[in-house]
Amino acid sequence: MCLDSRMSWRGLVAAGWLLVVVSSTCLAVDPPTPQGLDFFERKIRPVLVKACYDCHSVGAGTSEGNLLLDTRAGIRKGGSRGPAVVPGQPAKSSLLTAIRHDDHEFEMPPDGAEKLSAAVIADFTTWISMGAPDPRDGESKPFARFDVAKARKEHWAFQPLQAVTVPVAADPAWNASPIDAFIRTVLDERGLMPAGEAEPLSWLRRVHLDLVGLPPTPDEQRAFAADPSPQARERVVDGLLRRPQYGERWGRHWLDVARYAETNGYEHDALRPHSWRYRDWVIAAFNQDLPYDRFVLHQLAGDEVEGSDAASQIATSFLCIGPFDHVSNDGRKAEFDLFDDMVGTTASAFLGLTLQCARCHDHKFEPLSQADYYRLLAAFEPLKIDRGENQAGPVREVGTPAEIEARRAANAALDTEAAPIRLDYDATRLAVLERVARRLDGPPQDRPKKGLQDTKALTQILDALRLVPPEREKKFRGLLTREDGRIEQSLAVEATAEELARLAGLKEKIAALEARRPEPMLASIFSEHAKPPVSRILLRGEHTMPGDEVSFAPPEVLLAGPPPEPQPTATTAGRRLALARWITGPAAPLAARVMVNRLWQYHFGVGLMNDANDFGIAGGTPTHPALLEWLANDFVRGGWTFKRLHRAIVLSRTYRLAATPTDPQAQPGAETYAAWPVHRLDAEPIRDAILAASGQLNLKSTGPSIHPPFDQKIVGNSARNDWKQSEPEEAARRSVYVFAKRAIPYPDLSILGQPESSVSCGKRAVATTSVQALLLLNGKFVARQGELMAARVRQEAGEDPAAQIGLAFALTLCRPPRPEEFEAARGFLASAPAGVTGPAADPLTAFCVLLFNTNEFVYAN
Amino acid sequence: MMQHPSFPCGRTRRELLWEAGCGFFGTALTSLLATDGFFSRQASADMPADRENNPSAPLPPHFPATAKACIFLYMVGGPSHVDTFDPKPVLTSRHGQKHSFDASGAKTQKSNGTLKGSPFTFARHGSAGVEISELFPALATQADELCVLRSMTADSSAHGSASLQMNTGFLRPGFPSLGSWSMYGLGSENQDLPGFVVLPVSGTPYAGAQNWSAGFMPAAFQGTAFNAKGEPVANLQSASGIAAAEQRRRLDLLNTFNAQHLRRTPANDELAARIASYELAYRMQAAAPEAVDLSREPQAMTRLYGLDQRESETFGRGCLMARRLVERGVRFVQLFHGNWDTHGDNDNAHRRNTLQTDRPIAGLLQDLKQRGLLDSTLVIWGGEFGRTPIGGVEKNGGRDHHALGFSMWMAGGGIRKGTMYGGTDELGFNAVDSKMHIHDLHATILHLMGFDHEQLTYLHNGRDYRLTDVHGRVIHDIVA
Repeated sequence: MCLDSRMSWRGLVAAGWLLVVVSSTCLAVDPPTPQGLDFFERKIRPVLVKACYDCHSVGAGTSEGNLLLDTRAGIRKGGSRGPAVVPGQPAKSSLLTAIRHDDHEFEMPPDGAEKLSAAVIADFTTWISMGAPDPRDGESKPFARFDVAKARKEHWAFQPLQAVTVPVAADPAWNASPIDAFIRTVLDERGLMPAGEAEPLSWLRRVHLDLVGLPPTPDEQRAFAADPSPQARERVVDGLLRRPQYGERWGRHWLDVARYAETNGYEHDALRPHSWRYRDWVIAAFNQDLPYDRFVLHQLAGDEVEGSDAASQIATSFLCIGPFDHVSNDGRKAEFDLFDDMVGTTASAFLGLTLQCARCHDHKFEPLSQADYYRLLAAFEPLKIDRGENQAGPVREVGTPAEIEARRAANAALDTEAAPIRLDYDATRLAVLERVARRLDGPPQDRPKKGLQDTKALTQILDALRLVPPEREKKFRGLLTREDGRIEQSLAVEATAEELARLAGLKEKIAALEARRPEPMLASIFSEHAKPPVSRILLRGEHTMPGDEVSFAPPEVLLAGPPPEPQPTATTAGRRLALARWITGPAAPLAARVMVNRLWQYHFGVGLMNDANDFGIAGGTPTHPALLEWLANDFVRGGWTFKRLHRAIVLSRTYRLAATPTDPQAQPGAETYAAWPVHRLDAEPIRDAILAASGQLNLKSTGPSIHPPFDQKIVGNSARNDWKQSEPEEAARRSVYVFAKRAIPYPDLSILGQPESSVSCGKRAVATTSVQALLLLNGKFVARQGELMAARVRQEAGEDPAAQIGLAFALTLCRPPRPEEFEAARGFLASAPAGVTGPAADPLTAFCVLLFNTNEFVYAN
Repeated sequence: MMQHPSFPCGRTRRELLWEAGCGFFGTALTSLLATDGFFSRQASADMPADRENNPSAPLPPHFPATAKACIFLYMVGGPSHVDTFDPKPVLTSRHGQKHSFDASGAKTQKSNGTLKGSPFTFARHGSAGVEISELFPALATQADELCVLRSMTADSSAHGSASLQMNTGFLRPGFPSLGSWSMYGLGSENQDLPGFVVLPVSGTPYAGAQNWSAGFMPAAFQGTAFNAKGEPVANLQSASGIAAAEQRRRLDLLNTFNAQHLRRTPANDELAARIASYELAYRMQAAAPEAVDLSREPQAMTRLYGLDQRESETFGRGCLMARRLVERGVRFVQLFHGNWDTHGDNDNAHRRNTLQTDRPIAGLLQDLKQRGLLDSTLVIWGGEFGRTPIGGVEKNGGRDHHALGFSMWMAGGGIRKGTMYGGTDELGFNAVDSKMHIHDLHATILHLMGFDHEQLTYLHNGRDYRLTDVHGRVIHDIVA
C-alpha cells in the first residue's frame, strides 16, 4: 500500500522507521536524497517557474487543463491528460510528451512559444527517472472553471418557477386570455400597435395546418364561414384536437427532437426493423394527451416503471433510435458514442442543456463539468449494447409479463391444435412427391415437365418432409419455404383430384389457425446488464483513458439537494427511472420551460427562446420572460397536458392576428407578435396538403413505414436495404409514415428541410433555394398530383372555368380568389400553351401545380 | 465571425422590398419579367446579396485565397499507398515473410500476417523527381504539379466512419461536409448553378449522402448530386418537357399571385427570397444542362480526358464536367470513383481502377493548367484510408483497411508543386515522418481557400463548431 501522498516529506522523515518498510514496495515515496532535491532546485524548479507557472499555478490564478504544477501533489495528480509526472517512469509522464512535442496537439509551452532546449528536456527525463524528488508540499486543487452556486443563483433558467402576475392591458379586449395580456402589455411598452384580426378563413387554414398538418376541406370552409356563433372557433379547435391527425402532426415535431430514423447510419445503414413502433407510440402519446411527465418517464425508463407494458417499453426506443456504428473497428468507442448520443439527446430534449460539450473537458460557457457529463452517462451505462442479428440492433418482445405469457400460451395451443393437421398435410404431400421422384427415375417421356425436375433437390425435400418441424428446421432450415413454388407446381401436376381437394382443405384449416396467431410484439430496445459496470470519467473523452470513478447524478447546477437515489428493479439498476422522475420532479422548472417553449415555437414558427435546445447561459433570455414563466407554471399546474395549452394558444387573440402589420415601417419583427409571424410550412404539411388537394391522401394510420417513389439513381453503397417502392395508395399516406433512412433521406422531404436525423433538432432551418423551387415546379410527385387535382376539379366543378378556379383556390389556399387573381387565372386557363403535349399541356393541370408553388400555399399565413 | 455585406445604395433590404411590394412587384413585374434576361441584368434586384435570404451569396474569406475552387477526386474504399505513391523496397524484398506490427485494432485491420510487397515498379518523374508507380503513366507526366502526401493518418479503419471523417472531419454522422464549409464560408460565384456539386458518376461512397450532407447547417449548403447522364439535376425539367416560353408564362402567373401575397405581408424578406428562387430555378434549367453538356467539346479535348477509351470514358466525363463546372464558378466539386476496397485481388483491382482514372485525372490537370485555372483550383486525390502492407501473397491476394499511414495528393490552388511530403516507415505501416492527420489536411485546405480553420465556426447546440473540431494545423511546408 502506498502512503497518502498528501503526507509531507518532513513528516515522513520524522517517521523514519516507516520508510524502511515501504521503500521496497513503493517507489513513489522513496525519500528524496539531498542530491535529488538539489537537482530539482537547480535544474527543474527554475524551468517550471519560468515556463509553466503562468498557466498552471495558484500564484497565477489559473489551472489550464485542470493542471497545477506548483506542488508535488499537483504535478503527480496531473490534469485532463492524466498524471503529468509518474516518478521513475518517464514513458508514462505526460509532461515529457508535452515538452518533447511528441503530439502536435499537445505541445508545451504552447502557442508557438519556444520549445525547451534538448538539455532541459534531458534534465526532466533524468529527474523523473530518479523518482522526481520534489519538496513542494501542499494540497493541489485546480480552480473551478465556473461557480456552480453563483450560476444557480443568477441564471434565470436554473431557478425554481416564479409565480407571475398576469398583467392588465389597457385594452380590455386583450385581458380575456393571460397570453394576450402578456403580449399586449409588451407591445404597449414598445409603442407598437397590434395588427387587426386575420380573416376568418385565414385563421381556419392557419389552425388546421398547425394542429393537424392538413388544410380545411371546402366543406369545412363553408361550414365555418356559415357559423356566426361565438363558439365556432372553439368547436373547430376541439374537433381538430380530437382527430388522430393531430398526433401525426405533433408527433412529427417530437421525432425531430428525438433524432428519429429507422436505420443505423454509417457504412451499412442497416435497417432496424421495429423502429416504427416508437413513431407510432409518439403519435399515440400525443393523441391520448399523455401528460408530459409520463411522456418523459416512459421514454427514459418505460421498462422500469411500475405497470410497465408494451407501450411504455416501446417508448424507451428513444434511447437507441440514434445512429450507431456497428462495423466500427473500435467497439468500445462505438458504445461510448452511443452513450454520448443518449446523454446529448436527453440533455437537449428534456433539459435544454448542451451537456454533450462536456464529454472531453468542462463546458466552455456553461456551469457543466466533465464530471456532470459522466455522472449523467452513468444512468445509461448499465444498458447492454446489443448489436443484434444482421446489425439490426436489439430486438425484444414487449408487453406485461402476463401478456407475454398469454402470447406464448396462445402460440403453444395453436401449435398443438395445428400439429395433426400439418402432419396430415405433409404426409399427403410426401406421398405425391414420392411418385414424382419415381417418375424422375423412369423413362424420359414420363418425366414431369413442370415443378421439381432435379433428383437432388427433390430428395432433399422428401427427406425434409419425413422429419417433423423442429428437427426438420434444424437440418433443412427454410428449405420448404424456399422451394414452395416448385413444390406447388409438382403437386398440381401429379396429385389426383382427390388429393388436391384434400390438400386444399388442410391448407385452408392451417391458414384459419394461423390467422388466430397473436401478432408478435417486438421492439428495438435495450435491456440492462445484470451488474452495472463501474462508471468513470474518461479523460479527454477517450475510453482508453479512464479517470476518477463517478456515480449517477444529474448536473450539479440543477441539484438543489442530494442527488436522487436509484432504487434497483428486478432487471435494472433503476438509474434511468431516478433520472426521469428527477427531470419532471425537482428539475421540473427547466423541463416545463423547455417544453412550453417548444409548443409555442411550433405554433408561431418563432420561439420565446431563440434556440429551443439551449436554455443554458449561452441560450440567453426569452423575448417574453414573464409569459414563458406563466406558461410553464400553467403547464405544470394543468397536469402537464398538451391539449389544454394548445387550446389556450390557438384561441388567443394573439394567434388570430392578421399577417399585415398596422405599421409596416415600424418593422416590428416576428418575435413581437405585433402581427402574425408568417412562416413556411414544414416539409410534411406541404406534401400532405398537396395530397389532400388532389384528393389522394390516404389517412391510414400506424404500422410499418411506406416507401414512396423517388429517383434512385443516386444511392450510396449503403443502400443495402432496397427501397421497395410502395403501391400508389400506400405511397399517398401522410409524410410522417415515410421510411426514415439515415444514409438516404427521402429527397422530397429533405429538400424542404426535414432535418438530418443524427442529432436532436430543436428548430428546423428554413433556407430558400432554387432546388426547392425545382422540386415543386417539376418534381414527378407534384406533376402527378397536379394532374389528379385537375381531374378532381373537373369532376366536382364541371367545365365552367369560374367554378374550376373557385374550387382550385378552395382546395389549396382555402379561400375564394380575389378579383385580380380570378382575372389572371381565367386568362391563363383560356390560352392554350404552345408546343406542349401530354398531361403537361392541360392548362388546368399547370394551374394546379402553380397553386402548389405559391408562397401562400407553402406558408402559414 | 461571418461578415454580412451591407445592402447597396445605403437602403435596408426591408425598405427596398417594401417598396417592391407596393409597386414594382405588383404591377410591373409580370410584364417586365417576360422580357428575356431581365433578371440576369438586375442581379441585385432578384438575388438578395445578404446571407439572411440567400445562403449562398458570395462572401470574402478571412484573407486572400489561392484556391477559389476545389475538385476532390474521392477514391471510394481506400487505395493502397504502397502500390501507388509510397514505394517500399524493403517491403518488396521481404515479400512473403511473416511479420507482426505493434498496433491495436481501431486504425488498421491487419497488424500481423504475411508481408505483401507491391508488384508495381516505381520511378521518379518530372524535374522534381516525384515517385509514382507504373499504374499512373499519364499522371506521371504531370508529376511537377503534384504535392504527394505520404504520411496521412486517420482515426478509423471502418469505411463508414472513416469516410465521414475524410469528408466532414468527424467520425460520426451529422456534421457538415468540406464542401458545405466552403459554401458557408465563401458562398457561390455562380447563382445559376449549385455551388457544391457532387458527381457520383463512377461510384458512391460508404455512408452515402451523409458524405455531402450539410449536417447541422441549413440544407442550402449541402452538395447537389449531378447525374452522369440524362437530366443533370433532379427535377430540372418538368416530366413532359415544357418549352421555355410556356415555362415563362407559368412563372408569370406564379409571380402575379406571389406579388399580391407579398403586398398583404410586406417587409417579409423570406417571401421575397422565395420569389427570387423561382427566377434562379428558371435560369438553372438552362445553366445546368449547358454546364455539363459535353457535346460541343472538341474531340481533342474529349480525348485528353480519356473519353475515347471504354475503361476511362465514364470517369473522364466526370472530370470534364468538373472542369466545366469550376470554370462556371462552382465552388466545390467532388467526384467519386471506385471501389478501391481491394480485400481480394488487390493488384488487378488497382490495375483496373487506374486504367479507369489515370488519363482522366491527368487530362484534368493539364486542361486546368492550359486554361489558367489550375493556380486557383485545388485538386485533391485520395480515399478514406490506405491499405495494409500485410496481405494475401497468393494469386488474387488482397489488402485490408489501414489508417495509420497512407497517401493522398494535391495539386494547384496554391499548393507547393513537385513535392513529396512526409513518409511512412520502411514497411509502409506507420506514418513516421511529418505525420499529417485528416484534421491537418482540412486545416490546410481551408487555409488555401482563405480561411483560418480555427475562426471559421458555426454555432450549433451551444458550441462553435469547426471543420477541424479542436484539432488540426496548417501544414505550411506544402503551401507555395
